[in-house]
Amino acid sequence: MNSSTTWADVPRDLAEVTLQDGFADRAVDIIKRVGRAGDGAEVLEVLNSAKRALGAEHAAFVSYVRDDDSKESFRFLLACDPTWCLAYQQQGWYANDAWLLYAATNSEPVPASSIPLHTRGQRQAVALAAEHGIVSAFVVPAPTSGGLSRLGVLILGSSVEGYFDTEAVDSIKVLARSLSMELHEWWVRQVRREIIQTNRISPEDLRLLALERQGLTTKEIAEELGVSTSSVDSRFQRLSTKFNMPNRRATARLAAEYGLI
Amino acid sequence: MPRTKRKASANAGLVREVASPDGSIAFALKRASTGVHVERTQQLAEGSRVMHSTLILSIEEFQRLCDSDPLRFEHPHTFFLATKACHELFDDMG
Repeated sequence: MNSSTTWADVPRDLAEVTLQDGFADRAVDIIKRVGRAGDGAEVLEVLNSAKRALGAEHAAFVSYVRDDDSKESFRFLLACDPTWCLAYQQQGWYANDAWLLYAATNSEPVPASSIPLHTRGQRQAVALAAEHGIVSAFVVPAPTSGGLSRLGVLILGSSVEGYFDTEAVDSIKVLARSLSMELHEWWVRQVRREIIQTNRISPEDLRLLALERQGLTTKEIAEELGVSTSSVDSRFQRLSTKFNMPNRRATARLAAEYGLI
Repeated sequence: MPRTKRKASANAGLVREVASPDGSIAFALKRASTGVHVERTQQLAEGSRVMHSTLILSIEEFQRLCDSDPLRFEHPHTFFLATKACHELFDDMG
């Protein structure tokens, strides 16, 4: 629970929520607002409303992007106790987290209780969530085109044991999946905008990177853009410096990972 | 010295940014309709980045968050400035 809720507000049975008149319509109206959210504050307000509409007490959306083997970026939207995330981060469980691993290779939303826990760290991560009020969870992957190097996952949580282990979960499945995908799209747009603004990337730069990503040679790119090969090389050099990447291939891959191209 | 700056965001809310001198931890705080939006960004040694984004409903909640943060001992002044900025944003809300 957070400071704005009381025990009386907390649903004890998911069916209490899903059987209410207009449940799905209310949830859809809220989910549609994700795409219109301008910044992190606005999207978190929508996430707070959406979790309540879906009968959850807690919600966290995790977005993960891996640039290469050594560089990773995790972003957490937290409509739950944020100290949970700090404690989780301190343990550095990301790479072996059972819920994240599930989301990396599956698209089906499932109750967390159905995800097997193979290691001590995985059991500890689940125990930590329970300590912070997430005793029962629903894990909702946001399938992406980025393969294993990019993922999004929504976690809906409840302090009631077995809350997401009933048939009522079928009623929130489609809605939760929509919410997860909308949140992921929102993140991708935010990150894209942030990178383009911070690094002052022009539309011409993006075109150049897209052509590199398609596997064109310097000569072919030069012909496509109507410039000299040396101009292509110097533009790539400048872009690689901006992105702090060793070469143009890695730069184009990074741009693709972050949804720039 | 930790860096602090104020800037106007796209939708007219004032954003307070605080960062440690080495850039390993940074906060961006912004007034939202229901509280203060807090973005905590940590650069890890191996080049990875972790960002938490949450809505804080009271200064006590922010204090509790800071008290749970393991980096508060490493960068006490940064946390002091972030708390001060959060106080100011809640004060502005009246």
